[in-house]
Order: sequence, then C-alpha cells, then structure tokens
Amino acid sequence: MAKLIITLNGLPLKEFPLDIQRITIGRNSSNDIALDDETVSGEHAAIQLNPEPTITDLKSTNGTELNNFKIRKEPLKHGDIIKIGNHQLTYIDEQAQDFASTIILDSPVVAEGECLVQGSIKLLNGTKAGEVRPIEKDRTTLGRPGVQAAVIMRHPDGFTLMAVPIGQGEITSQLNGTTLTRDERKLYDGDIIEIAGAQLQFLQQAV
Amino acid sequence: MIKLFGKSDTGLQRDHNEDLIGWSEKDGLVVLADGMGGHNAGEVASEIAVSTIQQQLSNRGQGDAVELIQNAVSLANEVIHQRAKESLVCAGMGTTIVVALFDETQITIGHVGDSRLYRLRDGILQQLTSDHSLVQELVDEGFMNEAEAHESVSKNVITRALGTASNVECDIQQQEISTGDLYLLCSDGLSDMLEANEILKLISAETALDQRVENLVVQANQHGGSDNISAILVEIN
Repeated sequence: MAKLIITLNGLPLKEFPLDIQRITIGRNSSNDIALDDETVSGEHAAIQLNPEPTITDLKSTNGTELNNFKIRKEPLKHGDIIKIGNHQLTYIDEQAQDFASTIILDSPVVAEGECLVQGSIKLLNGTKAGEVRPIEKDRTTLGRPGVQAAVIMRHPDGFTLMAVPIGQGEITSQLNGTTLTRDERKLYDGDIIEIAGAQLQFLQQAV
Repeated sequence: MIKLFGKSDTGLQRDHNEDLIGWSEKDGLVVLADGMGGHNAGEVASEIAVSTIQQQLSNRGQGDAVELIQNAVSLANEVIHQRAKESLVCAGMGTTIVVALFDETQITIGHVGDSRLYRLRDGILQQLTSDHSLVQELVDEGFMNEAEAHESVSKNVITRALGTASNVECDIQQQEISTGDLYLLCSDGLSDMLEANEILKLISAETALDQRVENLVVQANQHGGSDNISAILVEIN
C-alpha cells in the first residue's frame, strides 16, 4: 500500500496510509490529513488514487508544490515530495520500489563550513568502550566486514543512517531496537545503533 | 585503426529505453549514458549527455584529450542540471556517463556513475573504471567483496551522476593501447545481468564484432533483462 510520510521542518510527524480513494489535506479538522499550520488553507489539496495517483491543489492561497514546482494537478510517483505550507509530504509506493532502477544518492558534498551540526559516534561496548569518534566524512561506514554494514550520511542540517546488505545477507542491524532498512533514517542525538554485536551511540551538537 | 559496434536494448521489463549510445569512428569517440528520472526524464538526460559530448569531442583536432573530456562532461552536466531546474517532469533527472577517446597510442576514459569500461587483453578481462556506487565504496573499504557487491540489492545506489548538482567530478584516466585490445563500454543493465566470466566468454568468441555485441544483449535478456542494456565493443587493429 502507498503511504505519505509527513514531516515538519525535517522532523517526521507521522505516516499516513493511503487506503481510501480520495484523501483531503488542509487546516480544517474535517480533512483526512489536518495540518495545524497557518500557511495551509482550510481545504488545501486532495490526493486521488484512481485511475492513477494524482495530487490536486484546491485553489489554496499559498499553493501546493511538487518537487519544488507549483502545481495544480499532477500524477504522483514514488519518492515525490509535496510541500503544503510548512509541511512536507513524501509519497512512498513500496510496490514501485524497483531494485533494478538506479537511485542517485542524495548525499551532497558538504563543505566543512556548511555544516550546522557536528556528529560523533560513541562506542558503548567492547575493549574501546567509551571512545568517541567524530564523523568527518560525507559517508561513514559502520559494521563488520562480511557481516553487516550501514552508512551514516552527512547532510548540511543533520545525519541519516541506512543499511547496506552484504551479498544476499539479511539486515540485522538496529536503530533504537528497530531493524534498519535500505531507506535512510534520520539520526537524533542519543540514538542507539546496534550492528554486528557492537553497540554505538550517535551524538550530535550544534556547531 | 579502430573498429566498433554498439547496441542499446530496452530489455524485458521496461517500457522504454533510457540508455543511449553514440560514436564517431573517425574521431575515435565512443560514449554511453544511462539516464534516470521519472516519466521520460531519464531519456532527456541521457540524450543531452550524449549529444553534448559528441558535439564537443567531434573534430577535436590536436587538443588535450583529458581536458576535452573534462570540459565536455562539465558542459553536459550544466545543461542537464539547468533543464532539470526548469521543468517539473525533468526535476531530479540525471545520467551516468562513460566516454572514451582513442588516439594512435592511447585511450582516454572519463566516467561518472556505474556505467563501465572493460579491457580484454591477452585473454584477461579487466574493469578499468571503478563504479561511483555505494557498494563499490564498501568494497574499497573492505566491508564486502566484489561478489557480495554484485549480489547486494543496494548495488543500484550510485553516488555520482550528471545533472543532479551544479558541479560534477568526472574520473579521467589514460592507458596505452595495443593491437588486439578489445574494449567494452556497458550500462549496468549488462554488468548486473552477466558475471564477468560470461562477459569474457562472449566477447572472446571468434565471430564478427556485431555478433558478439548481439550475443551480450541476448544473454543479458536471458538472465531476466530487468533494465535497459547497452554495450559497445571497440577493437584495436
């Protein structure tokens, strides 16, 4: 089933499964997705699933953006980003995730001066427990060769983590007790990562 | 003297072909692009890449091959990036590129992404380009081996592409060529479907060059043809 991931200022608020034919989005509480946001119109936009998933702007005051373009009515595809007011809705269609089609990693080369935050990894177990290592590269690999691997990606405003399966191996690495996937997950200060027997803590502070 | 043949095929699972190949025998130029993006934007990206690079590198005279490739790839990147910013259907589009210029004594290779160039010399097949991909980075760091990378579902994640940012870093290298060398440029639709030893066997066959290219495509389709498949073979005579 397709779903929307709703975020505000980069922080995930909730996931909304698209299990009805027409979903309305707006500030009024009568909407299927009600956004408490002054820049959102009472009835702002609607998503229709048939005959194909489509987003329509309902003549809202501030408009609806799809992948940074103002739109009136456009078909949706996996990974599309809808902007309504200060909220961002990412359209995820798991069935459309196709392992053969190439994905370009959204991992901009971040110059040192551009980083708003600094991240580090604290080792919680093993002989080097207590050691803290700063994250200094755009992509930092964690794990154990041939067993498990995950990559921390640096973005200008924070860090994300994704698992990378080794061969046909299963992913067992966890973030705060939940098994990782190939999708990026945002990291928060204090998060616990478990990978190939190692326990690590992600630490983040403003620069 | 070079002799070459190339083919690009939609494969079995896609409804359109976002790969594009181009060449000019007299300029010693071959280029291959594997585009990506929603709707038909992947085709737009690979088309801009191939046509821009062909335009820039045809009738190149005595210019420095490294500089020429660098400039041509940069220009293609700018044009695609600009187009992506101008229209919704093209937003986020990008393409890989692998380009080679052959001179009397050497080959100059530029690449971005996971399209590859292999050399067959004295019965040994060697991949001369290193993919700009997540799994390749993990191979380089020792977290997995080539076979594990080939089998990982994350192998489709690339770390560099043309058109997705205002600047792109293109890896460029030069190698001596010798008579009898055979060069293969291909998209991941070929290298994902075939093991290296299969590629070696198919391109070493004693048949005409075009037949060997056909056989590569046929074999990739027999393995499932899950992506667009492109291959160019260049023989040094």
